[in-house]
Amino acid sequence: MKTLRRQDTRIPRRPLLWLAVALLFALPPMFGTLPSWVPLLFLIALTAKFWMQPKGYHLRSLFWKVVLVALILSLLFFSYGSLRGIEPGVSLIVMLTSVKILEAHTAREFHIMIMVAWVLCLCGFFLSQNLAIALCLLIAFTLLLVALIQFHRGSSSAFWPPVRTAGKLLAQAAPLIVLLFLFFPRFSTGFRFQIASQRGSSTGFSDHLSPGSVSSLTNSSEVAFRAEFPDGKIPTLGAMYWRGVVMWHCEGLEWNAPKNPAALPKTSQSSLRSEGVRQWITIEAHDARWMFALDWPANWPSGARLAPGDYLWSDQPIHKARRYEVTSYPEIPNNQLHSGEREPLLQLPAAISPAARALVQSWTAGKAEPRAIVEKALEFFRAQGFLYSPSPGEYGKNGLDEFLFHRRLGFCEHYAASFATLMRLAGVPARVVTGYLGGEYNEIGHFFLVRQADAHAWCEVWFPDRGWQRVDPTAVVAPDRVNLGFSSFLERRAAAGQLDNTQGVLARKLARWPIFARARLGWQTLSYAWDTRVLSFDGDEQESFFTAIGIAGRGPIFFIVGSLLVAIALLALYTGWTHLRTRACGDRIKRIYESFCRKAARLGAPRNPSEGPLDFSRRAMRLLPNDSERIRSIAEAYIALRYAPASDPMTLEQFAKAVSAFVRAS
Amino acid sequence: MDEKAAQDLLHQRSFIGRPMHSTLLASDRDPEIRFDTKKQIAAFTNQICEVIVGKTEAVKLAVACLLARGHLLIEDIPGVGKTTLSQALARSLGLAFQRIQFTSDLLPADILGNSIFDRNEQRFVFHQGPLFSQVVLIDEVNRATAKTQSALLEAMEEHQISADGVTYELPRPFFVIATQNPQYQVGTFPLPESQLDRFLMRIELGVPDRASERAMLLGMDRREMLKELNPVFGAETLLEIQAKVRTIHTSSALLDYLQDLLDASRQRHRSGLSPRAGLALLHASQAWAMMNGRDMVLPEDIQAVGTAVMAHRLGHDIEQSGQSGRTLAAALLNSVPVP
Amino acid sequence: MRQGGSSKSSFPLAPTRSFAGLLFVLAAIWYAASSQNNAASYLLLFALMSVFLVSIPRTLLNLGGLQATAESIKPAFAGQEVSLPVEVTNESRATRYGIALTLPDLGDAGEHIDEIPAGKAARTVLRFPAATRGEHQIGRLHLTSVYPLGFLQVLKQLSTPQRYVVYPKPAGDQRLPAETARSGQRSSRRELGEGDDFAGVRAYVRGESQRHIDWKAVARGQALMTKQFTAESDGMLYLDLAAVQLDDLEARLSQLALWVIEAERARRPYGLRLPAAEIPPSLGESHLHGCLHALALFQ
Repeated sequence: MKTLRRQDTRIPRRPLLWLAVALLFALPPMFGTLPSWVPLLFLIALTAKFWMQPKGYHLRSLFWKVVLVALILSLLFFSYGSLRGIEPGVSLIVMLTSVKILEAHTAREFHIMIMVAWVLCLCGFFLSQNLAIALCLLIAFTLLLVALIQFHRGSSSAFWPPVRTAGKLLAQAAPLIVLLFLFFPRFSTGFRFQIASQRGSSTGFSDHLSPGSVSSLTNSSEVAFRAEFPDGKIPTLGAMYWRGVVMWHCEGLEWNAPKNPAALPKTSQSSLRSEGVRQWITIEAHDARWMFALDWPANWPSGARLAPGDYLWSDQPIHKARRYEVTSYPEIPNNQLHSGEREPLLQLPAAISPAARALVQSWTAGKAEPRAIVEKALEFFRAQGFLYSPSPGEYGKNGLDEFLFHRRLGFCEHYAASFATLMRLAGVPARVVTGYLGGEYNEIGHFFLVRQADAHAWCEVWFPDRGWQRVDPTAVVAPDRVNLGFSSFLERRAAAGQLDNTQGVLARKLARWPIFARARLGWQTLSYAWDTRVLSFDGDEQESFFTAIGIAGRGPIFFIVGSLLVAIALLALYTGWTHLRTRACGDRIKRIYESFCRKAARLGAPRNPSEGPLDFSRRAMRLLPNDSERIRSIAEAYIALRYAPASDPMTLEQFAKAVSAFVRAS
Repeated sequence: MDEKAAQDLLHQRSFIGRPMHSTLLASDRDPEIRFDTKKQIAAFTNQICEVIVGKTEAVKLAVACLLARGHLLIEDIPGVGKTTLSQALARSLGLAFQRIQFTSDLLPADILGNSIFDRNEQRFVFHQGPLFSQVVLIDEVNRATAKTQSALLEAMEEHQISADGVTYELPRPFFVIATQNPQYQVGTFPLPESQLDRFLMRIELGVPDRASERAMLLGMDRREMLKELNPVFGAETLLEIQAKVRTIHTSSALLDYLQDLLDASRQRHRSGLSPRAGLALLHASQAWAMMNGRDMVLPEDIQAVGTAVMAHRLGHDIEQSGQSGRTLAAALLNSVPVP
Repeated sequence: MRQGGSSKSSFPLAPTRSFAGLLFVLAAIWYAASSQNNAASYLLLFALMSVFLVSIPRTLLNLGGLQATAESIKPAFAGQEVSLPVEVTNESRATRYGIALTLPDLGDAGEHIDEIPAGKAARTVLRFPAATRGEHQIGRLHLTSVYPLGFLQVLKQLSTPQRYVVYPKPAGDQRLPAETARSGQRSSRRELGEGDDFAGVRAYVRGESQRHIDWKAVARGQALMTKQFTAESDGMLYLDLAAVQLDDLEARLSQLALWVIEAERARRPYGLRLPAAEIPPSLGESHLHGCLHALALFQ
């Protein structure tokens, strides 16, 4: 019990400390997405605040405030070229928060800082929504609550109680959060502000295949997508070719996909001979339009189309994680190749070296079958000392020849591109497919995690009798890559001493410890659940949820009012319960006496808390002459019950009766 | 009155007892007897009130203090009837009375007694000091040095005196009424804080109101009236009543309240009420309850005696709080809720 | 003397200034979440909303079982501060936090109690300036709390029937006026008892100090005799309103207040004579306050 005179309006140190820690937890999403000077300046402002606060300094002068804001605006403008878009906006908010931190001085401004910190949390979610960031922001949110609670607790300096209170608040809020999340209607406000797209260019996949475009991804552990097989039919790892984009246009070792492919008409499933494999795929945002599915998708989700080459193509760029269901079949249903189609499939770059032509001619001699040509070509890769390496080095202008006849060192894109080019030279229609191969199975969440490092490129060739067939030249050169998955392949290599990346080896060894492996799987599962259950729950999902529980089709007002009413009812219950739990309690005699006192107070004779029963009854009798007899007998009974040596149990009942008669009397 | 006469008087009076009272008090729980005790006490109180006009409250507190076997401290300016009150108490009880004026040169032996060499018997004879009496009025207790004060307070607490290796029991009942002038007079030795609470109560008599003063001015001389006072009951009866006071019931609810008061005082003040103060409050309120003819203590009883019992025990917080003990005690009683 | 707090219903729950800020932040998050269709932002919105909703019962109940008792107020002189000691008792079974006490009728006096554990009490002293002489009423006492989040304020209004007295500001001439003795009384009397001047002997009375026994006389075989001394003593001092030579009533009352204090300090018994009342000469704390009280209430 300490009392404090709130004369100095300075922010107490402890809440400020909590706030600062909360702000630190709001920072991680900004590193990596914003220019690094933004969070750094923010950190500096925060540190400066702790230096300034005990000394009573704060940013006072309006001139300097204006100068600072102008400086920030111009810095941002130079760094982004514009102040529009989400990242400049977030940067601006962060920088203005820094200024506010320097300026805030009074207790009232503490509240403003808390609110600004909440807005910072919001900004964090705009920059990234993955589970790690969400947890960081949850911690930040909780710490903000702690800061607020500590602020209102004043000088009590205990560490845990405010944390516990904040935890309790959050725990009690949790059911309400779930309720609101499920039922609160998701409007779509017509206007969307533009998110400047800066991703995709750096990571992932592209519609252009060139030497090094896939191998550049081998070090990226970023998640590309996750896949679940709801029917439990899981293909072998070696057959798990996730189809991304099909490249038609050949430039030797470089291939290109069409920028905006047309849509294929829907085919009926009856024409398919074998059973399909159903997949649920949760794709991470990549800001482009390709979507992945196992070879070969035939049943695609809404909002997407099947492009020529049998790959999925989204109608809209994928700016946020998206979950879809697709069914794939082991064969491509449409086996016809029209005459108009055949020609682009044999398109070749103008400059093909005589050596390459000679090589191909050695295969096609004697009117060989396409199948035989493929066999010969694969035999060539197998027998001529080709090596598989994630870092094959640069290939120059005449890359095809250099690869085929000199260095013979390449990654999957080299093999796929050169193989397809050679097939076209041999008159066999061929195309390159890029996508992913394999994935990491998570036995806790029962899903496959496919990373950017699993990116792969392979070929498809046309046989007149069988139609399109997948041919993966990499499988010939490095069968383990295909059958074990990329990471296992690298581990095996490392074990054989073929990689001298010691750091990576250490990390991998650590990762193979059971605890770490388990934790990693658990984390991935959580992350998957976060993406699929929470992040993907948008207006459409909500609509289907309402349909599932049979309350669809009502207006948003119904849901707003309904969810708020339920929330208020829950709160009322909670309030009543807490009140019962915490209210002043006493024994029965005292409770009865208190009801008597309340009634007397209503009648105009309130009892002072420090007034004894005899004094009170005398005063009450004087104030309420009509009831004086009753009051006298009640007081006598009360005194006898409470203060006399031994009381008759009968007296208690009489007392209770007398009081209830008095209370009921009008 | 010479020494021998006084001694005779003391012996004579201490054995004046009415057998009726002792038989009446034999049975404890008979309401009629309680009523009678109440009547007796009331008659006793009234008789004193006739002498000390307009001070009913103070007189009642003094009687309660006597019944609770406590000692009384009266803090007031001279001439408001302190001596008269104590003499009236003594005479109405038929008890021996002594008055000691404390001065700065008073030595402990002056109040306890001296061993004087008797030439006839050729040995030291202990001449009992003025403290060997049943009702002792000590005037201006804060004029004596700390040494003398301590001797007095010890005797009050122990009910006995040790001199030259011999322990002398003080007579029973033994009731000390000490008066002191307000603290801030020159040449006073304030009673040590720790010893102040040997006094059960501290009361103030104060100047009588106008009507009472007029009655006093018109009426008989106080000293004359004192002479005419007859003992209402004797020492024997008083001892029995004192014993009975301790049997007045205190329920747990009441003890809760008492402890709340003690807790509150300890919480608020640097030095709160001591456990001895708690006992004092209890005994005083028991006496008060008995005076009101009840066989149980009510919070009202505690409140009635509370200020008198607590004020001088809280008073030494004055520098800290800037409030007198009376104010603090009243504040305590006004703020601690009755459970 | 005794003051209790009885709760009166008044508007119990009101938004604070930062509530507007919260609404703004909620609206901003809602707008941003819906325009981006960003589920994580929605989650933030709902978390903030829910935490706020859940905090309402806490705020609402934070004053439950609290009783404030104003204690008696020490009189103050005009121009000084009046201190109102308030004890807040927590009769509930939960700890209460962040309680502010204000006196809405008496300016912006306010105190803050950080924490009262269950069943305990906390004390604080509200201070406000004593403006004018006389007896005044405290009026309302507000208990407010914004705990835990500070967006809502819950209010409990208690009425304190308590009155306080403001004494006139002591001012004027410090010298006490000349004694005004009552007619028929000696202007100076000699008081027997102590002092330096030997006045004579009288018979010894048991109980008297043996120090003053005239031992020489005992040695001569006489009875026990006590020596007596006298000291000079001042007479009675009457402070009369009519006798103060000042024009302004307040100034005269101030002068009297100063004299009362000076006389008390000098230990000279003094009386007070006002047109309507007269306080006979005396000394002591209660007499002092009695006189000042009379001056404070003088009409």
